[in-house]
Order: sequence, then structure tokens, then C-alpha cells
Amino acid sequence: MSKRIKIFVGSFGSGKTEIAINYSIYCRKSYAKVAIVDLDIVNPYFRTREAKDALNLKDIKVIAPEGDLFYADLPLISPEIKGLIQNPDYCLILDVGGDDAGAVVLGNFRYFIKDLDYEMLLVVNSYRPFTQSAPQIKQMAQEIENTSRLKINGIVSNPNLGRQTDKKIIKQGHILIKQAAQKLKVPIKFICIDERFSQKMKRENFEEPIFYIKRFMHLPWN
Amino acid sequence: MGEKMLMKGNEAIGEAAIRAGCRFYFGYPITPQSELTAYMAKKLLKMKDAAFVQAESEIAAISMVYGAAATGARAMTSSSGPGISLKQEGISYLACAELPCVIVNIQRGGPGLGSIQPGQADYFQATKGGGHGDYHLIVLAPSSVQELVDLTMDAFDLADKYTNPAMILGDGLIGQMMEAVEFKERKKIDLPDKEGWILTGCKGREKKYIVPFNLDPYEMEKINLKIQEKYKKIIEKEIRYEAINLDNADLIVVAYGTVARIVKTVIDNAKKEGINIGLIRPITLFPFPEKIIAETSEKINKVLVVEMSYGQMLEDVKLAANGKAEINFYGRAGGVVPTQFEILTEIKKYLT
Repeated sequence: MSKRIKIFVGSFGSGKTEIAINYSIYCRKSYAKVAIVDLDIVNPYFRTREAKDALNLKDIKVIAPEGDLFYADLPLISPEIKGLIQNPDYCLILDVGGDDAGAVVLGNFRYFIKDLDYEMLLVVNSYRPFTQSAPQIKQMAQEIENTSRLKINGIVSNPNLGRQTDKKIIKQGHILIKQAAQKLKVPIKFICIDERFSQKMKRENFEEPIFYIKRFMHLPWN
Repeated sequence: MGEKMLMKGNEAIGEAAIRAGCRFYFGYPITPQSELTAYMAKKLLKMKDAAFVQAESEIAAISMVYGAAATGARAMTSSSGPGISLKQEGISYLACAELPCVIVNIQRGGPGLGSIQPGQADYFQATKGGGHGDYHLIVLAPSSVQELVDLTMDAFDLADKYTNPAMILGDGLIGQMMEAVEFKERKKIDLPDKEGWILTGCKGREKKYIVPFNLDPYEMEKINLKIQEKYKKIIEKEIRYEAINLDNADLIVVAYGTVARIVKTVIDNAKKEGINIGLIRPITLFPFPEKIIAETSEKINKVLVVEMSYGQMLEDVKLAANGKAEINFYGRAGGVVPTQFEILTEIKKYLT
């Protein structure tokens, strides 16, 4: 099993939240204690906290603003987070808000994280407005590293067009993300694919491991 | 075919506006529309002959729109409930001065500071004036992120065509959700020449001015009559709606925006239970699609209006139906989105 602390960063809307939620469930298979932290100080909707009940049922601890503050769009950071970062019993997933603006909050924890067993993963969807080319992805990575003052150790490839995703979209997007990864000299850790493609797109189609994603953020008409 | 991108509703509005030729954006951030302001900052600040200003207030922002529009430029501002309320004085001025512009309202729960979750309770404000005096905005209500793109581009054309402010009336859900969008090549349409009235500097010519007043009441009445004539034309020519399953429906739902989208899923599920529901989805809220509602209520006498408010569009539906059908209402507000289950339960109540 890899690093105890996983930090998911990336551009706004790159898919960090869904991936972090799925990843925490995956980690629960090998760790007795798993916690996911909603560090999103940017988004007002579709945040990890909305999956709290589902995650609690799976015995995963969710750290997010509670009570009246559940729906707030305020930069609230629980004092519990620092404790969890330093607690070696916990596998910790940090779901950070988008762009460098969202990564600001990480700078606050850098001092505690930097010497620990951590990895920071950059989630990239090449169909999003500001990460559509290798230079743009590189710029995003640098901006996030500058504000968080932590190094990106890996890339999570998440090429998709939401419900309009198909095999071709995934393949083409992944090629572009690979080019960006080469440019950044950072390895791709895994590629995320919606579970509805689990029969159509298998391990042998890619060099990297596939991580199938189940969606937790729902729209009222789905 | 244009390229496809996965975009948040708010970002999609920004990109659509820029592609429609908007180079001037003035705004003040407010949840749930701030991504639009952020998107315009990211894009416009890098463009030539463009301006982005995070204004000191919403009142300043709408006044900047007035200034930019007076020079003939395509200008936009955006906000949510409380900020749109602050802009009302300026909106009334723009309507009086007959200046084209686009105003975006990504509605949240109200009244007051309300909540940051979606709402539709600014319908009255958007369609019935909002500011002072007799005026109307052209009000467009998108139901998907793609439609948000298309209607934003249309809004600029409509504003120019009628020299009148146009409003995109969305809600937090459509502003925040992500969907794939395509930016298609658009057909060039003929729009009136702005040269005659725009302010370009009066060196070598008579001076012109654009003001939202005339102290002579008879002249002020003339301004009123002129814009009223324009509204008649807008009503005559610009009504848009989507109608689904109107033949043989047991009941017709009237809903707009994201609520209409929930209703569409309800329609599909109800069909499996043998219940036949129709939908009228106004796309333009002003001009309101009265005729189709009037005609339909003569054939199907049960109507349910669903809104994220306590019954605002309901009044226009009642006026249109003019007593021909039984008009019922279901609404949640304050930021609460009605569920499929609630809507279907409500429908069943009127079918027994």
C-alpha cells in the first residue's frame, strides 16, 4: 500500500471530489482507519460533505463543516485536521479545492505534512477549460505547487465529458494527459474511468492501472 | 462541429458571452455565480480592447454596463438575488435609455441574504419590472448547460435587436453543475446598425447624449410609448417554449429552468405507471408563452405549476389559462429543490 496521506489537488472541476470519495472507499479495504477531509474552500455545491452519510456507513470518517455551517461557502478549517495529519493510525485523504486558489489552504498544513509519508496527486481532465493542453496543465501544476509549497508526485488522469463520455473521448484525452505528464516529469498513477465502462475498457487497454469511479454527486433529475 | 468541453454552467456563460463578442464585464462576486466573474477575469484581462472590472459594488457594476453599452460595446454583468436587487436602479435606467446589455441572475434561495442553494423566487423581479417605471427585460430561462450557452449568445443578439437589456435567469444548480457543451458556429444574423446612437466622441460632429430621463412629462410619455411599442413587437416575435407530450396528457406541468428538467424525469417514470403527463417549459419568461398555455388548458383541464418559489410564474399561467383549467401549484423555496418523488406524489393527488 502506498502513502498514508493522499492529497488530491487539481484545477477547478477536474473531478477531485468524486475521485477522493472513491479513493477513500478503496483505502478502507487495507486500512482500519480512514478519514477524508473536505478542504474545499472554493465550491459552494457538490462537495465531499454531501456524501458524508454514504461514507459514514462504510466506516469512513468525514471531516467537513457541520450543523449550520454545512451549507456555508466559508473557508472553515477544522482543528481536527491537524490531529489526523499527525496520527499514524489514520489513512488520510485530503480533497482540496480547485486551482491555486483552493490550494492556498494546504500552505497552512505544509509544515506538518512535508516530512510525513504523503503524496500529492494532480487530477487532470483535459476537457476542462484551463487544462486543455500540455502547457496549460503544466502551468496549473506549477501554480498549485507554488501556493501549496508541496511537490506534486503523481498525476491522476481523468479524461471525461460527463454523461457524454465515450471510449474515444477517454482514449484521446488520456493521450494528451500523458504528454503533459512527460513534460512535467511526473508519473501517471492511475486513470479514472466511470464504472459504466468497466466491461468495455479493461486493464489491457492502458499502460497505467485503471481506477473505476462510482458517482456520488447526483443531480435532482438523475 | 465545434469542440466539446466539460464546463460548469457559470463558466459556460462566460465563454458564450466572449464568443458572442462581449468584451466588457463588470461584476461583483456572489455565490452561486462567482465562477462567472472569475472566468471573465481570467479571459478578458488577457484580451485586447477588453475590460474586466471587479466593481466596488453591484450598483457601480451596472452603471459601468450603462457606460460601455452607450459606446455600442457588448457588455455584461452578473450576480445572484441580493446583488441583482442592488442593480435594479441601473437596470431601469438601461431600459429607459434603450441600451442593449446582458444581465445574468443565477438565483439562490431568498428573500434577504437567503441561502446559497438554488431558487427561482426572482421571477417577479425579472419579469415584472424589478426596478421602477414601466419597462420589461427580455428574460431567458435555460434548462441545461448547453442551452445556457445558446441562450447567452441569443441574449446579446436580442438585446441589440431591440436595444433593450436582456436577462439570463438561471439558478444555482445550473450555474454550478457540469455538463459537456459545444460551441457551434452560429449563423450571422442581421442586427440594426448602432452607428446612429452610440457615443463615440463628438469631434467634428454634433454632440449626442444618452440619458434615462426627460423632465417634460409629455416627452417622457413619448419615451414610454416608444418602449411599449417595442415590447409589443417582442411579444409578437420572440416567444419561445418547449412542449412535450401535450396530446392525450392526463395533466400538464408548467415549469421552467432546472425544475422543468426534474419534471422530464418524472414524466418518464410516470409513463411506466401508466400516467401520461405533458410539459410546457417556457424558455422566454418575458415574453411569456401565453398562447400555448391558453390553447392547452382548453383541451386538458388539469395543470400543475412547479417552481422553486411559492408561486410566481403561477400567476402568469393563471392569467393565460383564464379560468379554462384547474391550476394547481407545488413549490419548494429558500434553496430547497423539489424532488422527483414529491412532484409525482403531487401529480397523483390531482389525478384521483
